[in-house]
Amino acid sequence: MKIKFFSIILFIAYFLSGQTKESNNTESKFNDNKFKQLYEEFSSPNNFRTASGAPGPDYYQQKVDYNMEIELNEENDILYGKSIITYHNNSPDDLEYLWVQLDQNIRKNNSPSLEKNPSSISELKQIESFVDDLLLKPFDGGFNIDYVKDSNGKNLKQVVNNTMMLVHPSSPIKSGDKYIFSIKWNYSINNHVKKRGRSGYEYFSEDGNKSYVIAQFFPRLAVYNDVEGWQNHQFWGNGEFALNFGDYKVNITVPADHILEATGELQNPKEVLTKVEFNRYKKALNTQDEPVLIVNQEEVVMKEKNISNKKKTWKFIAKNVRDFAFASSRKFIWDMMIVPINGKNIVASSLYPKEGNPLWEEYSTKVVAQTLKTFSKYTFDYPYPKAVSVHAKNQGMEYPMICWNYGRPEKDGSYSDRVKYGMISVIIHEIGHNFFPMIVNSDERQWGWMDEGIDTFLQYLTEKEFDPEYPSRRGPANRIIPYMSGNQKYIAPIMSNPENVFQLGPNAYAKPATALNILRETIMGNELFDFAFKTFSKRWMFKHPTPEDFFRTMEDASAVDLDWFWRGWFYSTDYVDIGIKNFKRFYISSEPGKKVKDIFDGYGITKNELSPLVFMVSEDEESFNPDLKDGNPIEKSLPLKKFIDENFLNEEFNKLKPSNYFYEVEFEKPGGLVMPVILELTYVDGSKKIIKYPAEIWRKNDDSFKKVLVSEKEIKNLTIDPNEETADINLSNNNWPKIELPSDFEKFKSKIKG
Amino acid sequence: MIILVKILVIVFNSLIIINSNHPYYISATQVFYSKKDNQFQCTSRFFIDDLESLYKSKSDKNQIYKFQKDKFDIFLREHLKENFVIFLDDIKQNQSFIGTEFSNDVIIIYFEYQIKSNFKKIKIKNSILMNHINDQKNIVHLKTENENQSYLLTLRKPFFSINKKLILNEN
Repeated sequence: MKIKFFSIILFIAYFLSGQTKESNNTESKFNDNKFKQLYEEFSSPNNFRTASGAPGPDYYQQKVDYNMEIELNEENDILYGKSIITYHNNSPDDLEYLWVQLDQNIRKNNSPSLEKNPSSISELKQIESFVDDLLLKPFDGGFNIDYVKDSNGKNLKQVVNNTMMLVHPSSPIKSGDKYIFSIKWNYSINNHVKKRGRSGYEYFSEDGNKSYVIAQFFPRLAVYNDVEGWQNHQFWGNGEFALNFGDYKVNITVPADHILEATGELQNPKEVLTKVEFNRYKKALNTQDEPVLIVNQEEVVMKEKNISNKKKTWKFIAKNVRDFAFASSRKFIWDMMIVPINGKNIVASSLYPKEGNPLWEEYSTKVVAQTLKTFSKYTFDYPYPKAVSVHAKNQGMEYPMICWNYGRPEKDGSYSDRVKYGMISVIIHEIGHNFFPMIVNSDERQWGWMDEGIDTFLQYLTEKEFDPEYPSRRGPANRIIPYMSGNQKYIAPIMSNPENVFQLGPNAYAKPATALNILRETIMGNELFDFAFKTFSKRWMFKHPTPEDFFRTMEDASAVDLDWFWRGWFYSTDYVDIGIKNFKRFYISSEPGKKVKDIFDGYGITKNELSPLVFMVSEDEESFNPDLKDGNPIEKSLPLKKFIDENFLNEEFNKLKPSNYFYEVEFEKPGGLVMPVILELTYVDGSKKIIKYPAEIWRKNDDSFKKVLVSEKEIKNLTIDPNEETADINLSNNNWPKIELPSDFEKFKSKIKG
Repeated sequence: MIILVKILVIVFNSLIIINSNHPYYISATQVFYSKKDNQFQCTSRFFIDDLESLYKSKSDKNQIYKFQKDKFDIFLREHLKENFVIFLDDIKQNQSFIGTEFSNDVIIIYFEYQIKSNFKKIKIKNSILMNHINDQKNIVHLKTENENQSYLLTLRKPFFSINKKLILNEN
């Protein structure tokens, strides 16, 4: 009756696995498995966007071209502009109306965004902030629209709703048609240092001059697409921009002694530069490795004193960009060089007031070059002709081919490492934004993390290429622990609108960047990750991807199921905490241990009635016989010995190098996130080995699981995640035997006192 | 976009920098009562630029400011002695300064107190930076093996007192 015995053994094994106490759970449920595919979260794939994450056969995007005349009035800080807009309706729909973004309206005195946060009286206030907040009237900015006209000069009906303007074309714009209309406007330029604007001027009281960094300065068409219809979510301040690609022709008139840089290629360098400057400019376009100064500090100091009242017009053309920005000042020092990227020479340059030196002349342009190289390596060759880094106080902000960056030394020119690395990091970050979202053009208004998180991730890789010892703030897994282990009341999932998160920095920048880093280093490996990531970048270069397009592509190009990862890291606020609950060594025995014996007794059977069995006894059992520890383990079980003798030649068996060490380790998971389990074994002889269990180990048991370790050597201790690569928020359960980790205080104290 | 401003976020014993349009001045100090060593082990986290601006305001205006860590530490040691004070049963305790280290934009200050265990009442004052930055908020986490209580201190009330039995759940 072999079958009967076999089933008894199965039954006993079931009892031994510890399932006895479980009562029969009759509660039904929906599929809440953490490995369930994201069918409910994702929209259905369609002809616009495919299930593989690529643009579909019917994918379309609108194109908007701008032809603009701009004048900067330095005396009154007013910007005047006129644009002729050509709207190409590539959508399958006829459009009855257009939405135009008026971002400057966020600075109107009656802007709802000024009232978006609660406020309370603080009984104590610093004088300066008291005066600014409670005594002075807020700056009253915003667009003044002179007219909106069609190409025949007829006024078009328009309605302004806060930061969005509805324009009614003379007749609906048919699918495939283009529509030309023009807008004339002006606005008062704000001091960007005071209220932390993304654009405006900085005033230098010592010489009375200003430097202008000008952006969101013209009415920009909102995006119309297959996902949002019109993306006309108001601009509240945090959710940045959703913009169309197009070609720009822009003429900007400024005081004649200003130096100006902008999105696009300068068309008339000979007209706007002095002879000396022009020769240096030409030299810079042929110089690699070391930037050439086109305007130097000495010349700037002279200009600061003798202000010109003449004007000059700088002319730019930019192809296939989603925005346009410029910086202008007589205070600008200008350096430039070229960076070869895969055979094409890109122009890297920097503009900075003398207050930025000596930091800026030393690092800025070189960091621009490094960023273009590293980002191109991981995505696609930088397609634009140039990249400019402009020094603006306190802010870092990105535009196509040009960006504003902070980092200012003390008055005497000295600076700390903090200031230096802060500046290098922000330049990498903002130049990097050329790739995301300027070229891989995601919708920032809705998904802040898509450009910020991906950019911060590549920023980390660039920092490490710039200097392997670089003190990166964001990227390494363990740096995100304080955030992820924080009070859940103040944490929002990554997949949230930037206006509605509690902490935008960790939410849109650090956590997604860390998640991608963990994906690359620990879950997918560099090769699979890099290929999939590059595939995403190339698929969506000069297009408008959604988060789903990213999630789908990363899986489609790697054959790594990542739904569990996206769900946990991007859709939830769960954290990682995996630990070791128990670790036991077992010995081979010809006699059953107490547990088995009890069950045998219960059935009234003895081992002799069953087919031959090997028994395993753990050291911590009451009746453990210490003799089992010594000698050849095979000899400890007569049936086993007999089986081996009968079935193997001696030599043959010895070649198999039978293991002598049998262990059972039990893992627990107090944290909500599923992750691979990285287990380091340390043997008694001091050597180490890493075992990695796939995240899928958790799919049927979310709390704990056991694993058998069969080892050739005796194991001394175990560590989970020894290199801290999973952002495990609690290390106190990561070791066996449990060790008490010294507190940070004790660590520091013993370091100081030796 | 990145705005160079720091902010709020009170996670136990750490400061996280996030972007915001409103500067917020805050610090976090963990006071750990180690019963086995009879010590208060203190770890304070401040934004470096806040303390640096205090340091600058106290240094010689005729001299060009230069950051030197050893001098900065000496300055901090003095400021800390005056502004972070622990009283046990109204007796001021002796503070020993251990050192400082940087972690990005945050400076971490380590100091400790050797104490007698038979006290009844503890009072902690933390007015660091408050005379310089009136909006400064100093959070103190008083921690034992199993308890963790947090106090928000401001210029209006830069101290708190508590009975020992309340933090230790002792009778």
